[in-house]
This record gives sequence, C-alpha cells and structure tokens, in this order.
Amino acid sequence: MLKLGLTLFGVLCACAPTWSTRTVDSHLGPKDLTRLQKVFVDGFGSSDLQAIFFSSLNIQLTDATQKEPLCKKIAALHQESKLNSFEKDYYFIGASKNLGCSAKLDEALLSKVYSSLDSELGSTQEIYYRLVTHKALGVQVSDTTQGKIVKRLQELLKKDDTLTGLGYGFNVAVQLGSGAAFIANRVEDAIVQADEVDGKLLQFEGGLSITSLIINGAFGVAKAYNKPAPVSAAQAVKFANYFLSRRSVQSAKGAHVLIEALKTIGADEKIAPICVQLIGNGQLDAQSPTLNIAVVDLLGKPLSPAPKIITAKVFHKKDNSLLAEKISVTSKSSDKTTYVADLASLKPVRGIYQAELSADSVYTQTVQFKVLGRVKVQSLDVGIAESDASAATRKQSVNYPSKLKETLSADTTQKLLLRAVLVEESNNKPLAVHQAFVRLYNKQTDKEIIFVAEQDSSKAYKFDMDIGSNGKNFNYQSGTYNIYLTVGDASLSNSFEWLVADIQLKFSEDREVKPKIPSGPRPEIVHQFRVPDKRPPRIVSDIFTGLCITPLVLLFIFWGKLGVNVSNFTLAPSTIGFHVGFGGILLLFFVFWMQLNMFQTLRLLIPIAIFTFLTGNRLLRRLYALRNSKNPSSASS
Amino acid sequence: MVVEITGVISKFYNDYVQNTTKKLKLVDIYLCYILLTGIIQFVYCCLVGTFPFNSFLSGFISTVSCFVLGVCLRLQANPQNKTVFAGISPERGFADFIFAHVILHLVVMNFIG
Repeated sequence: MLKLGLTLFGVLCACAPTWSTRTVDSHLGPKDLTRLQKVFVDGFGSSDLQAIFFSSLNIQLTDATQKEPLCKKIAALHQESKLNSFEKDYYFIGASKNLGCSAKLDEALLSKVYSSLDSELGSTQEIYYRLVTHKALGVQVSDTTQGKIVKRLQELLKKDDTLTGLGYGFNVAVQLGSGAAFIANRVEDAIVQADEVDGKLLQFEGGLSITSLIINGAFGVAKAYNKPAPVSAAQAVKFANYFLSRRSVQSAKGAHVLIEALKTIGADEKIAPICVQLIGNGQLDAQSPTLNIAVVDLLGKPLSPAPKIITAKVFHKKDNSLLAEKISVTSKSSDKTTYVADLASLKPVRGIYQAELSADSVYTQTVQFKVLGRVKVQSLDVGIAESDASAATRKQSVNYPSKLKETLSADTTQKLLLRAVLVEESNNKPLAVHQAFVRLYNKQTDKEIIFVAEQDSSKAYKFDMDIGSNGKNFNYQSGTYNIYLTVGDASLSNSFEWLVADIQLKFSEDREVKPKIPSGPRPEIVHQFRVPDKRPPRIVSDIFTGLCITPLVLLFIFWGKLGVNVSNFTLAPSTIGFHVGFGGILLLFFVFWMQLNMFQTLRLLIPIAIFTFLTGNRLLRRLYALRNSKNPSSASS
Repeated sequence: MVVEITGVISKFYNDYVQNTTKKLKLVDIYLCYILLTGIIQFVYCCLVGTFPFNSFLSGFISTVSCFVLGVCLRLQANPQNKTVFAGISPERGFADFIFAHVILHLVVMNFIG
C-alpha cells in the first residue's frame, strides 16, 4: 500500500511541473520563418545542387535575369556532383522544373531516367528518388511497372529494415497508391524505434532528416490507406518539440524538411499539438492585471476551428493555494490568436502565480506569470543623534518624493538616523523588499558610499550610522553629501531612488588619504647580500692567533727536551726528494688557500704527489732495511 | 686520599717515562700540541663567536682529524700492538699518516675560504 502511495506520489510529482497535454511551449514564429526564408534565399547562391533544389521548391523565382544563370549553374553542378546518380538526377530535373528553365533536358539523361525503373533497383532510397523524378517530369508510371516496384520494395524491406530503408519505403508507398498496402503494418515498427530525450523530445537516430523522412512517410501512409494516425497525441507533442528545437537549422534541405514535418504533424487534427504561451514577459501590473495568451498552431497560425472555451485556473506558486478557478479566457476580436483573461476582479496581490490553461478540455498548458505590486513610502524620518545619547534626537519627516529643505549637519560625536516605512500601495501593509539601500554621495569628489538598510521588528527600514567610527569609509572627506534612499524589487513596478536630504559631514581627522598611483616605474630592487656578522676587534684575533702558535713552541721545547735529533738524516737523494716534495705539497696548499682553485691545485698536486710518493717509498724502505739490520729479531714483522 | 692519588700519578708518570719508547713520546708530545691548539680554537669560538663559520669549522676539523690520525699512527707504531697490526710496519703507518694528511689538508684548505 505504502509502495503504491509512493509510486502515485512520484508520478504526481513528475507530472506537476509539466501539466500540459497536446500543447507545446513554442511555435515557429515570424522571426523563425523569416530566418528560414533567408536560408532558402542563401541556398540559391550556394554551389550545392541539393540546396538550390530545396530553395527552388520553397521560393518561386520570377526574375528571368536570376533564372537563366541558375539554370546554367545547376546543369554544371549536375555534371560535377558527387551524389548518387539517382539523387542528383532528381535534384537537377526537379530544380529545372521549379525554376522553369527554358533549356531542354538532355535526351540521354531522360532515357536513363525512364529505363531506370525497369532495372533491378538497389535500395528503397533509389526507388523513391526514381519515382519522384518521374513525377517531376510528369510521366505516369505504368501499372505493370508499379506492380514490379511493389514486389521489389517487399524484397528490399525484408532484407533491409533500417530506419532509412523504412523511411524511404513509406514515401515510396505513398507514391504508389493502393498497391503497397502491406507497408502500413511496418509503420509501427519504425515509430517504436524513436529515442526519447529527457522525456520531452522524440527523435530518430540520424537527426532531423531521418526523423522528418519517417514522420512524413508514416503520416502519408496512414492517410493513403485510411489508417489512424501513426503516433499518439503525446508522441506528437514530443516529435513537435524535437522539430521546434531544431529551428535554427542552417541548410536548405533541413529547413525544408523541418517545415514539412511540422505541417504534417499539425495537419492531423486528432493529434496535432497546439502552442499556448504567454504574450509578453509575464509581468502583470497590479492595477490592470490582464493575462494575454497566444493560442496558435505549430507554424504560428490561428487555429481553425478556433477553440470554443478556454478556461484558466490560477495558483500562488509559493504555497499552491488557489486564487480562482474557471476564469474564462476570451478571444480578442482584433487578433484571432490572442486570448485575454482579466484578473482585475480577483485582486491578485504581488507575487508569482501559475495558471493552468485548458482549451476545450483537450489542450492544457501551464504558464507562470508575476503580478507586480507598487510600493509607497508611508513615512520617512531622518535625524541626527548624539552618539552617547546625551541629548534628545531631533527627527524630521520627509514626504516622498520631496527633499528636506534644510541641510543637516553632523560631526564625529554624532550619528545619522533614518527610518522609513514602506507599504504596499494597494492595502497599506508593510512590505519587505529585496533591496533597500542608503547611498551617500559627495558631488565635489564624485565619491559615494552605500549602506544597507535593515528591517526592524516593526517592519520599518532603519539605517543608523555612527559618523566617528565610519570616518575611514569616507576617507575622512568632510563636505556635503546627498542622502539617497534606493528601494528595488523584482516584483515591484515602481522601484525608485529618492534624494531624501543633504548632510554636512565633519570629520575630525582631516587627513586626506592620497590614492596610490599604480602607474610609473617602481624603484629598482637591488640585490642585497647578507650583511656579514660583526667581526671581533683586531687585537682579539691577533691574541688568539698568537695563542694558537704557542703550542707549536711548546712542541719544539718538549721535543728538544726529549732529545729529538736528525741523526738519521742522510743526504741521500730520496731523503732530500721526499722532504722537498712534502714541503712542496704544503706550499701548494698554502697557495691554494691564497689564490688557486681546486682544479688548478689538483693538476699541480698530481705530479708532486707522485714524486713524493716514489721518494718517500724509497726513503722508508731504506729506513726499514736499516732498522732490520740493526735489530734482526724484529725483522720478521 | 690526596697522597694516594699523587702516588698513583707519580707511579704512572715514572712508568711512562721509563717504559715508553722515544718515538712514541715524540708522537705523544705532538698529540698534546694538537689537543692544545684545538682547545684554544674552541675557547675562541665560545668567547668571540663562530663567525666566519667555515673557517672555524675547517680549523677545528683539522685539529680533530690530526689528533685522530696521530692516535692511529701511535697505535700502529706501538711495539705492544704488533700482534694486532701484523704486516703493518711503523714505516707503513707513517706513510699512511702522511698520505691521509695530504688528503685531509686539501679538503681543509678548500673549506677554509
């Protein structure tokens, strides 16, 4: 039970916003038709055979100076065209007929066209084009040939049941007449293949031309064999929505098939959707609330027969409360497409409404409109008070739209007060508006500052500014300021800005904050190296350098005491070489510290090091041998 | 207590003077010299500050490394450690000592700035 309830609720919710049957929101208006007409006019200028054909189908050229070059152009284009031969033959023959070209058609071409129906045709598309070419030439297809074509069509549709195949098949059947009645059973197969988009549009895969081809064919078949309309009323609305959504089409063929399809759908009275829409921007004046509605067919023409009774049911959008039911919407005598409902007797208050319109109880549509109210300033007081409330406030009333005669003046110890009661003109009830601002404008400096007025508990708008604490906002610019009250709301028809009074403001700190000039070169930024830390005084450094040397002196003293000697020093070349080499290395390091870099040092170090290594090796070897000869017991180590 | 400590110290000193070879004493004096230099550098750093830091660091590292290398030399040259460093003669140790010093001071000089 609960589940069922939920489902019902869901369905109701889904239906609620689109409470419309057999109606669409828009139609092809004069603007669209003019645009499509322009597409056809441009089609003549193009070098596309197809575009010229569809243009000639829709626009009758009367000017002979235009016709002759066109006739020559299509003949040339027919030669060059890369379209299928049956297609380009049809466009060429059709266009030259539509244009009324004087030049005779080529005999070879004609005989090719005539003989084509006798041969085995490859597709329903080919059959269709060949048949319409015959029709364009005004040649009757014989019954025996027709019989053959029907057979061939049956064969082809058995193999090829694509949408394109079926679409051309329907159109062929329309041309053939009673013989091809079998095709009526295939219409449903095609229609069910339509894709639905967002629950609003129905289209066939392949776009505008396929959708139009199938719709035109299916309706044609239904008409030819006296069958009911191939689509339901709800489907017709969705197809119509799709075609209307493609009204910005740019090609001549697209424009042609779009208009044809809308005509086809609109022609079937039993299912044709109509367009019910608001005229204007949907804003009604509270004084004279008249709802203007356009009721037209898909191409913007008045309905025939015109709907007899149109009624409206109006709700508040906010809470869905009913305003009135069965409001009669009457036709305007001057314009057959316009219907008018006068809501004045209902006295609608300011707000957003929804109207459910119903024409002859068949067509229904929901439209949304707004009733604008008028705001009135009931009272406005403006005054200056002491910030510390030490003295009584002196308030003065101002009437809209006049301005306070005397100029107010205030300094930093005071504050500016403003209180305005805004009411609805119709019933004198206080109202809340979207925007209520107090603007202070200084004419001399052309500077302004805007504050928001807040509504207090009694629904009056209040503005309270302490001049001392707001000095920064004014840049401490003393002077005469105009006080404006701005009131605005989307549902008000008389939003206003009112110059209430002038005020002389005095700021104690009269410092002028100069605006920074952003242009001009900025000062150059010089790279700053890190400032070196403070060094110790020279004497301290020197003392410690001396201190570092003292251990060296101690070293020599103790060594001396120990009795170090150089008795082992011999004048052998290796000894001298080693000491010189090692001394060289130390000297090199000193020079490295002073001026060389690592690479230079290494380059010099390598030869000296090798030399020192060799001499050192020999020296130590000799010492070792000497030690061993002195003390043979330790020679084993 | 004090007598004991002085006794220990004097015995230690005498033992050192008598039993240590002249070469090792030489190295020991060298090590003392390095130690003293390092202490003076450290005192300077505490009193005055480390600026310029790289110079201080290279000097201090130099003394510490020299001390370590000196200790290594002393270990290898000590006849008591012969068993541990079998195959490394005092001459070989001295050659290593010189080689390590060359590398060390190349780095120190590079770092001193």
